[in-house]
Amino acid sequence: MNSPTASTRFEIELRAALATPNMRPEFRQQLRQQLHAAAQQNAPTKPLRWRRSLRAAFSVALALLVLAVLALGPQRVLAQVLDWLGYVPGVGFVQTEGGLRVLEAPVSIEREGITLTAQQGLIDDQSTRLSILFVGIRPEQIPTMEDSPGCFAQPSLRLPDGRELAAEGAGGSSGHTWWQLEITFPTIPMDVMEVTLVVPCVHGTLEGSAPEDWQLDLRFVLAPADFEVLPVLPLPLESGVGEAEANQQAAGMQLAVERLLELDGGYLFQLRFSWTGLPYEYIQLDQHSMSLVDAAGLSIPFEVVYDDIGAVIGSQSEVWTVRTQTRQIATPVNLSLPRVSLPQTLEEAERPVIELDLGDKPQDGQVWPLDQTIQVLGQSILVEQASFRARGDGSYWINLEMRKDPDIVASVSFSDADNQSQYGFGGGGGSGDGHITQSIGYDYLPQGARQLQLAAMDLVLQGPWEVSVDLPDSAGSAAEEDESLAACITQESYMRLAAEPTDELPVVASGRVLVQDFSTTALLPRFYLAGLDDSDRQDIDIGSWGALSPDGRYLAYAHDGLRVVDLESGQSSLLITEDSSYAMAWSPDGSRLAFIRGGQGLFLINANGSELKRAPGSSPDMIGVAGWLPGGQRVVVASIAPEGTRVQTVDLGSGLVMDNFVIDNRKGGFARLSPDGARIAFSEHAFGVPTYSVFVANLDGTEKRLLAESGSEIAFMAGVWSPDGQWLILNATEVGGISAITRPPALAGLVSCHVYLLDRIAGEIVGWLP
Amino acid sequence: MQSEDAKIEAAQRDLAAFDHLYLDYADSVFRYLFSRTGIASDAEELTAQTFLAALEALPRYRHKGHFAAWLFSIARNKSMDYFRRNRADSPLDLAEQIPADVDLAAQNLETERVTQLRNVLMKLPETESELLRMRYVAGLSFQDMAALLQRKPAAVKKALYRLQARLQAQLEDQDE
Repeated sequence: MNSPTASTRFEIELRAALATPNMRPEFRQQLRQQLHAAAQQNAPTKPLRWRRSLRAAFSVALALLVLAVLALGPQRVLAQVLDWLGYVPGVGFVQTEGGLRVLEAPVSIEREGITLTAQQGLIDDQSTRLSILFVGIRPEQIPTMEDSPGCFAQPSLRLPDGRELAAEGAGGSSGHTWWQLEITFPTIPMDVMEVTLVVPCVHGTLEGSAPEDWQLDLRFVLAPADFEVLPVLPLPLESGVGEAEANQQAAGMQLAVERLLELDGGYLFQLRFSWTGLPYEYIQLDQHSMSLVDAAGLSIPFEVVYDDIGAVIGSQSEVWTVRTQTRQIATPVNLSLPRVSLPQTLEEAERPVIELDLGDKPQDGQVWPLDQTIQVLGQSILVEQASFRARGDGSYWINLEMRKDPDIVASVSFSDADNQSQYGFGGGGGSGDGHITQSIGYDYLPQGARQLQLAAMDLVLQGPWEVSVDLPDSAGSAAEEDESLAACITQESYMRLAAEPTDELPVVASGRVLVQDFSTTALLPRFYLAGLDDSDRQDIDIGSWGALSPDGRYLAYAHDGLRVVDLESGQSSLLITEDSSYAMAWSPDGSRLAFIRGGQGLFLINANGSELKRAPGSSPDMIGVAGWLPGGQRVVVASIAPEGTRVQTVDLGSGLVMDNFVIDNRKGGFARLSPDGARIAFSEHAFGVPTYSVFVANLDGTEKRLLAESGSEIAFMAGVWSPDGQWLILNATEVGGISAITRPPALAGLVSCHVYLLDRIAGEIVGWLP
Repeated sequence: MQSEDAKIEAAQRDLAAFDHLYLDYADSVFRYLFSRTGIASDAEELTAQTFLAALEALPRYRHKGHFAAWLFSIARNKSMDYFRRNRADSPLDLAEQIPADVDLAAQNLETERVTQLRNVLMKLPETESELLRMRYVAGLSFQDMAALLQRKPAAVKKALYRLQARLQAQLEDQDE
């Protein structure tokens, strides 16, 4: 018999230390009888019944979507499976020994205006994967209070013999009227082709507000003969520890490629980082920090596909998958992981304490400058300040802002030992320059002297760990840069511009711009007008979502409601008092505003505050306004949808909503319509870039081009078009942690691709007057 | 043997079948509540309140797959009410309240090390104590703990393993 491991032995000791007595037998029996008596008295008058589905009904839109997929014909199906089902956590590679089974056809049922559809399904030897979609959810069915989380009961699959397979995992996305789930179940036995999907309730809805106990009969069929599954290529597996061999602490840690797959237009690498036998239960690593470099020295863009597989506790390893977008890679390709983070155990005496006196009534926004340097494990951490936030949901937060050496200290975690909150919550993040923030949350108002103790810390262990892989002969020569994909500005070119400032600005850089200045100490940014060289400033007010009227006289913005200020007289009007209005846009004649009310969709209001109304055709899923089309009768909006963000045109007269195209963005796309309404700038993922990049396309989505490619440190976002529509302001933000830092905007020519840095502007540009 | 979901379904149809669920969870709920209160009679009272509340709410129960989390959330709320009524800032020190009938010796584990560990546990913040209670007293799975704490299972695991590593190191340091 093997001896228990050290951790197992400690667990035994823990259980012993926590030992409690058993329930008295007499009490157990007494309570049992009491419960039985209560059950007799309180027998429910309405026993629950499973309601069987009466019939299946097809959703036309979803059927069309699936038919389009099915019509693709023989093809590299694994790539398509990944596209169909998304990146399903924990799935990895299908096991085909027993054959694959697929959902014969999508199945839908509609109840009380809500439609549930089983869209796609795949069964292999290991698991059953199913994609389902609810549409037609109404706003009043969604909880608005944080203490009413709504229904999140997991679906199950009922087999013909009555057994139920519980979900093993689920992920998904949602809008205001829909919820999509991708669920993993155990594999369905080979002799079973028909099962019933049992869904207890409409995901995310208030209990009792929507139909419950859904059932869908699903039929699976053997995957057709031309259902091709990509083979795993034989790998000359090599693993090793690169320069980290010289680091004793890193000895024994290995990076290895376990599987290689050819995809349409790319490769899939499954990697494993292991630390077997080392004294760490887990190690933190950032898959996005990896690099892929081919034999020609070219950096190959990649995406992390299964980055949430994570560590299997006890396995002392972490597995993930990366994908390239090209097979034109000079072989061999080198995969490198530069660093990992090691959790540190801090002895009681080693834990530094920050003392903070909140006083009897800490105020929202209150700041305590600290400038204290603490020493821990030989490292210095500067605690710059603490601030206090009181949120409307009843939570209170102490936020610490700190600086540490980013090459040595990966993360720190403070806690308040006297925090009596029912739940422990908090969070933090950092930027690449060593600036970090951390929040400690309370579900009651904390007061008086607090002892904030550094409870945990992760240290960086430098690598790199590298592994080389010989790619099949089908790999081409070194990848050639596709000029059509080249951006006018990248993170690297932006950094170069910032390092070599120039006073030169193009002639077009005239007029005045509306700037949101985030450098103020107020909770909201401050608006000001100025030239593009930041000259002739006119301060306005604090607020957000600023929109200049076409004649430049008025500014609409959000500040404790929806406001309009006359920039000439300074007179301000509060049009709406509720604080949920955003994304304001003026009609071409300046007579009214279109805007979004959070969770409710598109609204209209006259500039004088009259005739507030929901726009015809409005949907709660509309979450952004890109702009008005010339003529003032149609508005271009962004709506969240299962497939991403839909750019739509709303006819305000008829209420007709026309789909233009879909943006690969689940946060609304941050779209900006050109002044002539012909083109649109928006944020979308560029392959291999962790943050959104800026693209420009025609309003129907054609002729899409990458304008500004974001990086891991600088993220671009469309600010505003020039009045002549030939230039686009790109706002830049330094990213990497919770505290995003605004950097100077850039001005990019759509035709010339020339870029100028507006380095005197201290904020984001959100409006431009000729 | 009936699956838990089958037991729940049966109990929702006929509350008399709640007996099966009671027998499955009675001891763990009591132990959890004792670990919070330190007083057997109070733990018994809270256990009774918990199961009576669960019985009353069972027809409305929908959290399939997380019954334990649902039940222990009731237990937890009952214990919080208890502390508010008794103006107790925190659960009583466990070591002072374990009655003599806890047969630790029978497990051959009442060592000096366990005593030291118990002393260390007494000084833990409530949030960390609760993690250990959920896992080692109530016997909850990480999924159920995550549902109770409204965190991801991976985050709960990380927090627990980090805590254990720290406690282990503390003990070893004391041994030196």
